Amino acid sequence: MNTEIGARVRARLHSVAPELKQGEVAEKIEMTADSLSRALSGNRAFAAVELARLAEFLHASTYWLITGERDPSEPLVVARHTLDQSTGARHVDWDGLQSVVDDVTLAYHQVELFDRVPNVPSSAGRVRDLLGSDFVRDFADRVENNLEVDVVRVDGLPSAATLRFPSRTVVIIGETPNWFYENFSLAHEVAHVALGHEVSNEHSTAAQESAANEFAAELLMPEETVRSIDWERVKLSEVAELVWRWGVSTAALGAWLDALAIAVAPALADALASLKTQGLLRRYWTPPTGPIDEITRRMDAAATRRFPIPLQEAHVRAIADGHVRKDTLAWMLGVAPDSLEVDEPGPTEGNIDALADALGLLSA
Amino acid sequence: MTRWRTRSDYCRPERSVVASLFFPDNTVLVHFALMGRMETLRLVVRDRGSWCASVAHECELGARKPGQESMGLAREIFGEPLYPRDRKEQIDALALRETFAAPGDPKTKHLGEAETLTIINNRQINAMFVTDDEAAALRATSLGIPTYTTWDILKLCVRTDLLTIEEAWSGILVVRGNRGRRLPYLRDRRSFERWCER
Repeated sequence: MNTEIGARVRARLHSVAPELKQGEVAEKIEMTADSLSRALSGNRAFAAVELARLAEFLHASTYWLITGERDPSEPLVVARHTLDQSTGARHVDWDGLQSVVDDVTLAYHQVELFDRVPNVPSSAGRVRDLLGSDFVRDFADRVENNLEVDVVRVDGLPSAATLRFPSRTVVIIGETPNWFYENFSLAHEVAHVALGHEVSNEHSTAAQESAANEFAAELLMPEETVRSIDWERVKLSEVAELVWRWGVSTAALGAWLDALAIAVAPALADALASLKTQGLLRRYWTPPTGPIDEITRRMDAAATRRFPIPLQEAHVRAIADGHVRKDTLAWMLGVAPDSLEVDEPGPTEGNIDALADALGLLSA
Repeated sequence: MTRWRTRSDYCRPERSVVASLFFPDNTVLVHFALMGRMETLRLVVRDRGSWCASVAHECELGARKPGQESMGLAREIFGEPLYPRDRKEQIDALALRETFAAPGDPKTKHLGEAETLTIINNRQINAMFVTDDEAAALRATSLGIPTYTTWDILKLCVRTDLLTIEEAWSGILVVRGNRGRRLPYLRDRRSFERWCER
């Protein structure tokens, strides 16, 4: 008789919905009151689907309900906080993030793609060295190839996040035409890994967030270089060139100059405060001559869905072997499963004679 | 020399064969209910039916939906459901479910197939699994569990005179859906008839 699950369910119920009676809980998870009562007291086992419904209702993991332990294959998640300017409060839209985290986790679990230890030094300078010169134009690729950290870019993400599997780290960033926000988000997530922020729950602390922001600013806008510039005399065209090269926003540059207590010409302070990033670039930056607008090209790149190629390859192989369906690969590619033509086993067709024989429908 | 049992044979004692249990997934039960053929399914399964608790639970909920009320007969056909008996079976079912899932699927989806295959495999039950889920069918096959579809069962019904071609085909038209339409033998009535004769 297993009463452990029942004890965990009761404890969780007490904290999540103490006002509900057992019969009401049963109704919500589509069990009969008698079935739930017997299952909780260990007189009847739980069906897998009953446990899953119960876990969902209790905002708990099914694995935890079964074992009382955290699922070791589940990633720890560090999510970037959003600052509410009016209240100064930081928060994570955890509900909005959860479905994306679940789907990315599923993609990795299905092909068991792990065994990749991040190689992220703890100083921004050393990270910059590893990423190589002009890394910011293909930041995601450099992070993946040079720091051994996977990068996923998807739409509908309320905030960037880092998933730490036992032996793989994955940064998830949102698709956005604003490449400068993407760069800062990615740098911020790399910072969490570099600084070894330990997480015991889903949320990083305000102190960790602050440290990660400082690391990200230093990674993208090296202090030494920033201090070598005379910000009281610099031309707006030169600032625009720096904003383009560093891949940051006018707001991020302004905040970094402020944090470094660097004196800035009033006209520049006005420009950084009033001009949006593209506004500054369109007015003061001289793009290289060519048939394609570089700003549009950069927007397009930052707004493009992205999953690591090794992950996609692993799915292609697993589909061909019949281990997984093609829906997850299609999701990664942003296409409908039916439109995806990959090598896959044909539909199964049972041996009807064997079926008849097994059911005793062949007479001697 | 063996011959197919036909409708008239069902009241006779059957020959002795190693019993193989017939485990359905929920979609198959939905299909038979929508076709109005649960009684036919009962004749095919006879005393060989078994099912897992998650399929039974989903079936009970399915029977509340209009047009699927006859799913309520499934309990008579398949009997008392088998429950995961320990922590290992529960965890194995969860892990297996992940291989069937697609992004966006609710965490309750595919648990019936996963629980069924876990129970059959862990307990080494001599069983066949009837499912229309391709991923589950492929996994079952890889575990050495004979696997069949709704269409295979209908073909068997035709071959044993439980259904005429017309009756089976009219049922297929009800439940074939887009996936079934892509199967060459379900494309049209003639294709199905040829397939049944094969």
